[in-house]
Amino acid sequence: MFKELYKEDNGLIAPDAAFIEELTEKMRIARAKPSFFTYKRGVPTPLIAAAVLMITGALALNAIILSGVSVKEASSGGYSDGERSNAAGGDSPGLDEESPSPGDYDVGAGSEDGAAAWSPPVSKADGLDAYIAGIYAFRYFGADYTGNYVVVPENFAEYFANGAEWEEIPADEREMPPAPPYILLHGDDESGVPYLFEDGTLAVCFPRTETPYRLFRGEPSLYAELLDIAGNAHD
Amino acid sequence: MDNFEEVMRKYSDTVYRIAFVRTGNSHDAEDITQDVFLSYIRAGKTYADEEHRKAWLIRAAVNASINTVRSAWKRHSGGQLNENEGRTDENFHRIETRSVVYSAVLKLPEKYRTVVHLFYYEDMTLAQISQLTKTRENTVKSRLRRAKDILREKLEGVDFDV
Repeated sequence: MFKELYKEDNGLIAPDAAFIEELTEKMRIARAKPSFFTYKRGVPTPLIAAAVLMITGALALNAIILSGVSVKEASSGGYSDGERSNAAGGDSPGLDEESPSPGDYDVGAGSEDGAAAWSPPVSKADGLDAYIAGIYAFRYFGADYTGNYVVVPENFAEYFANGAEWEEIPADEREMPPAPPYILLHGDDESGVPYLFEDGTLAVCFPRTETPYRLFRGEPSLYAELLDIAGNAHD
Repeated sequence: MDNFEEVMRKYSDTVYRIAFVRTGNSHDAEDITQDVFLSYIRAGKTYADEEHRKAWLIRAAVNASINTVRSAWKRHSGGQLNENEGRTDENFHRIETRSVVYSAVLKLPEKYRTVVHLFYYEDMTLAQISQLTKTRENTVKSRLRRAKDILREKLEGVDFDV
């Protein structure tokens, strides 16, 4: 009797049809791009490269609220120009070879009311590539999703510091994102859209996702690449 | 069945339900479903038959659900999934208002829920559950027995045939 009742009740539990439809489409595309799932030392990450290409055609963010946090310069990432690579393979349109100057990063943060309207040096990837990029790169860095805000630990770059390759940190070794200060971003409800800041800070808006639950170690060259991406996209 | 879309159509409910019974909310269940099918694509395995394919997906769903519940973030952010109070989840509320039985299962301790689900919904044997969850069969047996004891107290008049 319990068995029948329980089985019957499970009929009430089903994924949203729109979610499955959307997911099926994403999986179809993901399947067609297996390179998105390959992370190897020394190999440019096609995942990110794809996101970068999308970034170059990015739309402006609607509104971003920066809460009392100054954004660092891109050059603060500790990578020399020689170490940086062009993630888009050298011929991607819209990606300037030169990094922006430090003065370009005065974003007006830290206004008295703590909510300065900001035309951000932020780039936005778009579409399914961005979604997949979000899943496989940005979501795992310890961001906290609260409503329309994504909270990214300011020193999140440290996650990249020691990793040799992309690997999932075992559940028992995972750590909480570091303590505040955080950078607060106002998302725009576009699922999976990653926001790249010129200091390498990343965020992704996942309306469906309450809490990212994985942290990944990434190779330092990827971080350098992301700095490059963010800096160039700013131009 | 090599067509991925067919696989998703056939097993998405299975994966989602395993995730939901463990996590108790749709958001995590959707995330887990997504991760499981991405893992499925990444694995690129061929399966001897549909039973093997299904077993792989169930195992992936169980593991992903456990990881989600155990994650440091969940623990530290107070996302205690045993406490379903105050949830705004649509599926959860539908269950809470329309189903006494499932609602009682959701109130079980996490480690019992998966066993109950696999045993009563997926019709798996204790040995199969043991193998799938990498838990000793006696442990599975005792968890199921304990779960039934709790459920009997909550669900007066409901018989447990097995």
